Amino acid sequence: MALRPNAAPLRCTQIMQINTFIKPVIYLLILLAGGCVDPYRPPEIAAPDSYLVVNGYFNSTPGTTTTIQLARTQNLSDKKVPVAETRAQVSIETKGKATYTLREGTGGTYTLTGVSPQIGDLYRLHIKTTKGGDYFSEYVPVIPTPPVDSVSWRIEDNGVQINVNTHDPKNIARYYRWDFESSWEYTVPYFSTLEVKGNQIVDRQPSVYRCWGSENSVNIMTFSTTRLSQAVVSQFPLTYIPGTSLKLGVKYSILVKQIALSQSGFDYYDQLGKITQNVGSIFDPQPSQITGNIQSPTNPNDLVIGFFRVGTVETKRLFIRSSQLPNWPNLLSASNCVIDTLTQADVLKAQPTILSYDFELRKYFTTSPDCADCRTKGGVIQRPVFWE
Amino acid sequence: MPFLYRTLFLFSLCSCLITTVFGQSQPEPPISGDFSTLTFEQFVQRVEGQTPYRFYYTPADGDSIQAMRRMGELTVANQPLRVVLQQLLDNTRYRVAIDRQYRVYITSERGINTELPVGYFRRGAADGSGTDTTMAAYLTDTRKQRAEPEAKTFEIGKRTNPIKPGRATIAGYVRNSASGEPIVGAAVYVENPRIGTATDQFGYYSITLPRGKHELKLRSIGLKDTRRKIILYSDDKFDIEMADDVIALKEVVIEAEKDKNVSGMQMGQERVDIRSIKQVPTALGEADLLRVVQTLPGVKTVGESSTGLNVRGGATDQNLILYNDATIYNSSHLFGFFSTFNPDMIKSAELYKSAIPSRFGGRLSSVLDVQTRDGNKKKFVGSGGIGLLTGRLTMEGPILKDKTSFIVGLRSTYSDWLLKQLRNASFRNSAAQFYDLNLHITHEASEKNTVYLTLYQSRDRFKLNSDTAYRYQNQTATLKWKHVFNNKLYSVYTGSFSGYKYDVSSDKNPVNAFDLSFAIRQTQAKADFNFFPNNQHALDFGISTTHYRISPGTFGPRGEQSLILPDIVPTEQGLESAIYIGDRFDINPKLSISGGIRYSLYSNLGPNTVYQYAPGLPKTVGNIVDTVAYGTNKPIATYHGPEYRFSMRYVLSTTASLKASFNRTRQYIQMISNTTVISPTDIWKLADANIKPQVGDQYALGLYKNNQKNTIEMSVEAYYKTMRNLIDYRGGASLILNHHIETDVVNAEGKAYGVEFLVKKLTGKLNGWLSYTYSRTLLRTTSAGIGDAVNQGNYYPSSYDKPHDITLIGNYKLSRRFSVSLNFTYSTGRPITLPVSKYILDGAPRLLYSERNQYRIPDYYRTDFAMNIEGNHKVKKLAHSSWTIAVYNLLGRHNAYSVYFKSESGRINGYQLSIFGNPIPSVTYNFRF
Repeated sequence: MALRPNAAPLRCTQIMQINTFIKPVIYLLILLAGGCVDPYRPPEIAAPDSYLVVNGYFNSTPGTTTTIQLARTQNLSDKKVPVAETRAQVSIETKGKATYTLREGTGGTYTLTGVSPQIGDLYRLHIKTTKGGDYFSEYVPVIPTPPVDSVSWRIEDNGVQINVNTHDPKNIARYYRWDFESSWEYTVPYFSTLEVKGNQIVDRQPSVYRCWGSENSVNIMTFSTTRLSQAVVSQFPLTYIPGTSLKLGVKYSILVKQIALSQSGFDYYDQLGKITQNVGSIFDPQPSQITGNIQSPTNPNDLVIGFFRVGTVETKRLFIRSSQLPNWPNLLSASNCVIDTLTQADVLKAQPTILSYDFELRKYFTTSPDCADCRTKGGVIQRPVFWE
Repeated sequence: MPFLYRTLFLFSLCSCLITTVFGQSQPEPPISGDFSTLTFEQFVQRVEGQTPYRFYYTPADGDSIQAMRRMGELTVANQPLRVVLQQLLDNTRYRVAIDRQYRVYITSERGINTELPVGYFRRGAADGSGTDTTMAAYLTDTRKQRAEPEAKTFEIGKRTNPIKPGRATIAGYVRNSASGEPIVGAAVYVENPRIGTATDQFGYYSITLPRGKHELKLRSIGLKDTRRKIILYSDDKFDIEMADDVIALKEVVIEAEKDKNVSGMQMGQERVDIRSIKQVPTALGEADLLRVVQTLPGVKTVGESSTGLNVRGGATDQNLILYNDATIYNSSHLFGFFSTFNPDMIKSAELYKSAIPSRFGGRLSSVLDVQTRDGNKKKFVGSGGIGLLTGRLTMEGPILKDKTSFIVGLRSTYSDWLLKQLRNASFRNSAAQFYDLNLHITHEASEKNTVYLTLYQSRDRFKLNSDTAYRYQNQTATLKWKHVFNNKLYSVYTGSFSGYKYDVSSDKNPVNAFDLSFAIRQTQAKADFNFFPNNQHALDFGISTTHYRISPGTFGPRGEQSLILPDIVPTEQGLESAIYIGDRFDINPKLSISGGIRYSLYSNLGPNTVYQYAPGLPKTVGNIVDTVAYGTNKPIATYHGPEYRFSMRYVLSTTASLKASFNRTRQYIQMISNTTVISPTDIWKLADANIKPQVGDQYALGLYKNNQKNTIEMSVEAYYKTMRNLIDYRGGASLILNHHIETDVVNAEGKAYGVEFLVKKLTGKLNGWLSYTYSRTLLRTTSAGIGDAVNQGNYYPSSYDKPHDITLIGNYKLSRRFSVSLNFTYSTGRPITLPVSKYILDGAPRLLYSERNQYRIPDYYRTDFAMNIEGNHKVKKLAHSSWTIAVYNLLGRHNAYSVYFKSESGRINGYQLSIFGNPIPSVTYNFRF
């Protein structure tokens, strides 16, 4: 009788605390012992082979376009954008031998429209490069993602902690991963009405008083509910924003993307997260070479990076207004700004940010760009379409 | 010595006084003058020139009086000498006596009576009503004088006339005369013919000599050399006491076995004495046994906050750490900042790196045998210390005088209190505590039976920011009965228990609140015999059996809201039994061999469920073909095999010898950890149907040379070692609560080789040692499947492969009360896996790592400095105290502990982490009372 083991080994996220909470203890001891963390420049690592990197998934939502993007790994010191892998033959095959070929777009992207994967079927990715590389992913099942129940927030330690909650009523989706895009509206302390343009002082158009910043999550966040009696994710911490952050200046928004994974997909992202996020404390495991579920059947040393999956992504957006928050001191307050009164000649010479012109003094009120031009803080002045 | 000297001086004076004591009462001639610029000696000469007085004192006392600088105030006008001297020596330990012949005696502590007792010549005629004060004072003040044993001749055995030809055996204990503590490793020998032995861990010796007159000599660390004149008639027991060498405070190491390096059988053995342990500077000021062991050649550690030892290329779990015969599973406190051994409880520690005696077994690489002190059998004394983070107190004394004694020690930390003082709220809500408690009782039931009991417990607890709490604890108990059959045979019966457990709990989020625990219990019974048939042979043999019980993981909900599903990894059981015999055979004075064999038998016992994997395929969950359940105590898997232990010594000259050894060791329990250092959440795993026991072979060769006076020792040892059935881990392996750990580990084999050079200077003002080691440790995976192979199945360096290692431990005694120590350590950085490429996945940059351990962190280099200041050497005072002031990492070098990369805001940054980035000063106060 062949009997499968009934319990998977304890996965990281659940007990991630064991490793990640030892880390602060160590830092505490390091603090007591006068330890330190210094930047480290690795020795010149001889350029290794460049490997294929596969991004994207087969979207099972009916009527959507699936995009697979191919690129190459780079040397650590390489500052250019990754080289795209063009003119490859990319196809998705079912276990029943049906083959759907993807159409090449620009910059190493390959797309497929009009094919909806069927739940219960198994699919694999097949890539043939112009250099003769021939790669297959493992056959993977379709795993639909249950909807996000809520994205909640609460005030913790003078900041905002944002958590996600979900559950699968069918108790099927046991492994989850989340990404998020955060956006925030903010203003600068002073309104600039004038600007220097072509050695002349003219009215500023449009205004640079109000901006919107945005950022994508970089950490890999995974959670497994296999240790729980129900597939319930309760208050999974996504991000923490300190109260002094610019992000909470006017209004903050987060778009949470939830992805249900297979166990092997979870293992992959979990390990990837471990070696890129949690490495360095004394008790962390050693990093290792992690590739994914795509391989070359003929040359195992020709690595492929990435994990092919079939499924959906569920999203939920949350807004937080500054009026909902305590009055935290903002880093960008007027008290940190110096106002200087300059003549026209001085303004043209020093090119500060101009607030306004005083007709009595016949001088300009000016300040540093930080205080009156919101674009210096990384945002754009276009209001995002989704902004409430 | 000063006492003896004074006594002799006194006796000789008394004998010459008797005839002249009866002079008439004479006036005392006064003296005058300004003596303030004179030395004491000049003062004496001047007085002797002016008056009939003649002075009697030892030159040393004269110097001491001079040193008190009292002469400066000495201007006298027509005063009696007695008054002048009293003024000069008032409140000092010196006493003045002047007899009728104008002889001035200056003695320390006790004055000389220049009068004989009243009625000395008229026995019984003394006036009954008046007490004879002179006599009474003399009698009460008399120090109890033991018969000086060195001068006496002891007759041993039943007296015969004439002395029979042939040999006889003397055996007995060597003890400290002050505390009754047995002395380990004392050399007991006669010089002609050259026959010698050393006392064992009980202070017991047995030596066979030709019958007749001998002078038996004894030498030991920190004790006065002594000798006994004996006439040996037949076999008998003979106990010897040795006295503390007060002068030798802080004297370093191994004086006892001055030529052991060359003449002894052992190789690859290091003995550390508590005196040298206390002298080596440590990070937080606390004398630390494991830190000192780490400075020995052939011993490495992964990082400086770790107490883990890597001995000659072995992993940290391959060391048998014994504390009075009970195994210690986790030897660290506070994440390795301290070791679990209280320095006040330790007598000595011996590390066997090769030629491991056949009485030890169960671990591959080394044995660290830590012995506690026996309590003082004569009086109650205490000692303790206060350091930066810890405090400790030890009490000892007799329960039944000269028969039963106890020693109890407690050490704890006040780091918790320190955390509470920090302003940061997350630190204030944190906790870090540990303590260890030791009790050791020795009971000498009769001459032939001694019983020892040791109890030990250590606990650690810490918690960060009111969240996850960690606790772990070691517990051991040892009961030992030593029975002497006769001078040639004695036995030791030992029962021991070792327990280690940890638990982790979290209740921050009530839905996920959990408890996780691990426990191991080891129970052992053994009988060891030592047999000395004649001086050419020393046999030991014995039998032992050990039962292991491991609860690999128990995971459960904490609180009613928790949705955590309980998960219990089934308990594992194993029984390891062994039988051994070893013999040291001195073939001739030049050549000795020591051979031993240990046969060990191990069974993994039910109840348990065993997964069977498809043959020839990697052990993965997908390849499970069957599951077999075994009943209670049914053997699941049995392994057994011989362990050979062989060594030989060939004496090249009186100061040089060549030694060689081979030993095989087997290990049935291993630690499962994929972190680089010992962490409190590491688990232990018994060999079972899927995980085989480890087997190691080691060949070693050494050359030993001392200089003529045996003050400088030099040695070179080379070794080659192979290790089979090691385990390594798949990338990102999950080890906690894993029901089938074999799917996350890969089989590996290892080889290690190296050369160790050591120069030691043991005596004199400057002492210490310098060692250089070149060594390599390589591993390779041997599993069937290609997916298992780390680095394509090629050899790769282990995480503790540090080829070059230089250590200097130096101590310089500026005076008897003040010494300075300097340590210097250099080693190659340990291997790490570095990122070699980057790529973008799901919108964020990620790293592709190299093959395992292909790069190294920067080299390690550290200097430490310490000063030891002893209190004064008065024999009688309230408490003896000493101060240790140390600076760890004197140059403040940022030694990389680890190097890591993080993707932060889309960029990849490399960091190096140093644990001690600054010089760490510390002050420790130690006391004895």
